[in-house]
Amino acid sequence: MLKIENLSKVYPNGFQALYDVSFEVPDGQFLVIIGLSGSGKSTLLRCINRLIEPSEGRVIWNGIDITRANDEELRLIRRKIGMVFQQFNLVKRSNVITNVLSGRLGYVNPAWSFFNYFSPADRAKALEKLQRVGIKEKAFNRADALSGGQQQRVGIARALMQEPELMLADEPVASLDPATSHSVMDYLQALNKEDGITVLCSLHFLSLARTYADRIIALKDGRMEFDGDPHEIDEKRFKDIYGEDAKEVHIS
Amino acid sequence: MFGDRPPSSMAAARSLLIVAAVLVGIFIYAWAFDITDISLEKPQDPERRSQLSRALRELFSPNIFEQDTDSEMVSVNFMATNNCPEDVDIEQPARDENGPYIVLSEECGFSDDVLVIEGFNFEFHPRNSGIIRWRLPNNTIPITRFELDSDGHFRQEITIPRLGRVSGDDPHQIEAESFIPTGGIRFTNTSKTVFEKMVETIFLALMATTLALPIAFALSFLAAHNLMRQLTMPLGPVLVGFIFFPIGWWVGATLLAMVGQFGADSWETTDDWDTVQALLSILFGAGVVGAFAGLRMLRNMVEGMDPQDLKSLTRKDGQNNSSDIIPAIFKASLRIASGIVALVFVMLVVGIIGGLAVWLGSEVQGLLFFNDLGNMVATLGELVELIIKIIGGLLGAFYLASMTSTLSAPLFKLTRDATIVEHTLGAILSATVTGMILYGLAEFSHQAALLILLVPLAAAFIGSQISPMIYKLIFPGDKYVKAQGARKWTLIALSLVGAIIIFVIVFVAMNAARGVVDGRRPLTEEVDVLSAGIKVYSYRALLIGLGLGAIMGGLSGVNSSFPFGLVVYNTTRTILNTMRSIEPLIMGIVFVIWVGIGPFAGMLALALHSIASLGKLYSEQVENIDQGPIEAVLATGANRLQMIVYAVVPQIVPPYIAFTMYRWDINVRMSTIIGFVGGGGIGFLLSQQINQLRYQEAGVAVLAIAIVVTVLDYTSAYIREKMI
Ligand SMILES: Nc1ncnc2c1ncn2[C@@H]1O[C@H](COP(=O)(O)OP(=O)(O)O)[C@@H](O)[C@H]1O
Ligand SMILES: [Mg+2]
Repeated sequence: MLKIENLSKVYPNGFQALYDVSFEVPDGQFLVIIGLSGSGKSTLLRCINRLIEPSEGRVIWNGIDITRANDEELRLIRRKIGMVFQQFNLVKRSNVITNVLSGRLGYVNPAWSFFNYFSPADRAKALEKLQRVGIKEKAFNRADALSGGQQQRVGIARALMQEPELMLADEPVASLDPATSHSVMDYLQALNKEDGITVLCSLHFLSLARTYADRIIALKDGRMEFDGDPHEIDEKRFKDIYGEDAKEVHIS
Repeated sequence: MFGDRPPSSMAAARSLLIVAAVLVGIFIYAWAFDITDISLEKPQDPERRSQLSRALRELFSPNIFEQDTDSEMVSVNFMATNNCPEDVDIEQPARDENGPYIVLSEECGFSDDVLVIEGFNFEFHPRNSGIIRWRLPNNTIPITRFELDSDGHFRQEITIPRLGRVSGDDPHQIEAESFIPTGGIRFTNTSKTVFEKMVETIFLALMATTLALPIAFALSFLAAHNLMRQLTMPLGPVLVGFIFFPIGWWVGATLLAMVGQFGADSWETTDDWDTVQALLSILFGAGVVGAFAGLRMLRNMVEGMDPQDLKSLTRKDGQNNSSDIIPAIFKASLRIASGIVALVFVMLVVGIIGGLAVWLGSEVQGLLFFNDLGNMVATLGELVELIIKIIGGLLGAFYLASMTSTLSAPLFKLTRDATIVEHTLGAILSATVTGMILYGLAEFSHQAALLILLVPLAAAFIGSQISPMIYKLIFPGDKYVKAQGARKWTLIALSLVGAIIIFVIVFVAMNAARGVVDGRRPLTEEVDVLSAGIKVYSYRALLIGLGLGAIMGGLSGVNSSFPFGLVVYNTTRTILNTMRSIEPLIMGIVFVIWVGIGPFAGMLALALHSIASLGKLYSEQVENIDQGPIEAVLATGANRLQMIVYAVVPQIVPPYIAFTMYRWDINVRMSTIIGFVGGGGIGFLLSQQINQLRYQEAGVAVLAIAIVVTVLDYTSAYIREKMI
């Protein structure tokens, strides 16, 4: 279980991106966070694995207070939390398998990893994860030779190498076309349903959120505006979240 | 609205300002014109012009090649007198009708008379050359050069040189010597020397670049803002680490260095192989490895390295569990033990490698082709042995510092809710550290008069930190927000004021005028403190350090965040920038004093400068990389070093290669002139040639430089283009 308690974030320039956000995520849930761009979705997700240091509040995961962990402990915690990014964040010049293997860095002996040595078991695992996301044959291509959808799948494979129990996905499909978006979301859904990995995924299209979410949280200007079932979001709620002038678009 | 356009009075004021600026500009240029001594007369001076054209002509007539020549020489007698008889009749040498001969238009004459010399029957060659000489009884004057036409004939008008007072009746001789090339064309000795020196130059540049490369590589990460910015640590552990640093250095430089020396000595005996010692060192090494492996296993068992086991974390729900303390101490001691064993192992290996290199090098040195290789290996081995104390010291210092600061970190956290303890501890620790620093600086400043400023400057820096802290204590702002607007400027002003006040006070207290005004070094007079002799000057610095440190640490407390990364960043940047501002030629002069004239001095100078400039270029590349992969790799639980290897290094390889090529290119250019200050390479030769006015030879060197630089320019541009 993931428990967010009174989380606030003030950036050094004084901008407050999150106001007192609290919610709980039971294990195995597919939680989608929606909100306009700038509403604080990325900030929230990054506060969970402390890529961004929260200003106030606590993040407690399976009884461990992540916000108070020291560097060493934080690394152990991060190993179990996978993350995928809007911009994929692959090392473009490295080949796909190296990118995937880098998901294993928290587990391996650092001395070996400096020489780019990974055990045969880890290499096999990397190929297996690539197989799972359907791009095993691209393993030895350079990452930037892949299409956007394929790159995001490499990102998912990298996160899978961590054997995560929690997956944070920060607008994983925002840079992809609709068809590819669905395929990437399907992979995330498979992880959630088949492996029981808890998924926290931010999206800015409501239609995608409705398709995949077990539950939706909406952020507006850093505050929680909505928390509940996908079909509870009616016309009025939609206008509350996205503003008066917004119109819902459907991605097929 | 009127506000849109400035009122006309303001416009007028602005144009007046522009006119004034232009006038000032003109005066500045006039002054600069005068200072730079620009004149139109000197370049027109005919004497200078002829010197110039001679120098240029010779520079562009480099004597690259030479060829053996055959010569034919004939001479005729000439009567040198200013009253020639009507009928001149002097005896001429017998003429061989088939061989070459010369004929004079007059056989008698004196200075400034003009005669015509004609030569016949010389052997012709397209590249012939000849010279006419005037041979007096006691010396020979070269008159002019001539060239044969295709019939082996020449006709040359000459003016009789100033002969002075003619003594005796012996006739003068006019001789003509014609040279024709025979045999193969070969390089002149000048060319050969230039070639050798050019090789030296290129290698000098290569060595300098190679030496600078790894150091600049390592430094570039420390000088990259994006990597260092995030690195903060609580103040307490930093201070503890700092206090233990010198202790670690001392222990490492004595004990660890002994281990290293032991490893090195095991190869000492070349004649009779000291089996016992070699065996001992192998056994010792094996023991160390065994101990390391054992401890490692034990540690893994205790710490439960099972990746699934997050439960081993000591803190759950933010509560400290007292039952965790005993295993924590046990774990910590295991960790320390395995660290120490690892250090011993590293030192042993370093020592053995050094010793092995010396031994191997000296064995190989005699062998024909391997002489250079043996020499290099042996020298590198000696270098390792030479710096074994430094390696041991560094390892010990960093190990002890990081170990103590890591271990003390949780203890400091316990004081989080006890403000008084937190701040008292801060005061004590920080007083110790600043006391140490200022004392160390004071001791060092006995080296030279101007260094007397070190202590006041360091104190001023602390002062600049203290005054904003006091302000923040009185007017606390939002702790997550960086100061902005008026508050930011107030803080900046305050830190300036603080720096200046402390600087002045310390300057006076330390009597720094002694160094700055009188150019004298600090007093070495001593006082008794705790029955130990200590220099008065250093003692004062110590007291100032203790005082300032106590205030600073007391105000901030042990749990305040210390921008460790930014301190490292700023220090590295400052050092790199200072080093870069010193021209390699000046560094060359210093190294020539140290290691003598020759390529070694030039190499060191260029290497040092390359470290600074490559370090800067590299670090800018690190700052320009895509941050995404860094974030992604950190999110997987990788440590910072792994992050650098997997997220940063792949991104910077192409620009690093490009910049290294570029630097080598620059180094070759620089090494062509570093010789001017004695730094070896072709510059040394060139400076000698120029000083001795041997412009034709200098021409060869200049040509060689031009060729090499151009070729390198194109190659490096080509490679760079391919890389990016
Ligand atoms: N490093 C930063 N410094 C200051 N403000 C930031 C920083 N990062 C994000 N913000 C601001 O915080 C708000 C929330 O940003 P973000 O979490 O990226 O929103 P979202 O992901 O929902 O688009 C935005 O208004 C953004 O401008
Ligand atoms: Mg975002």
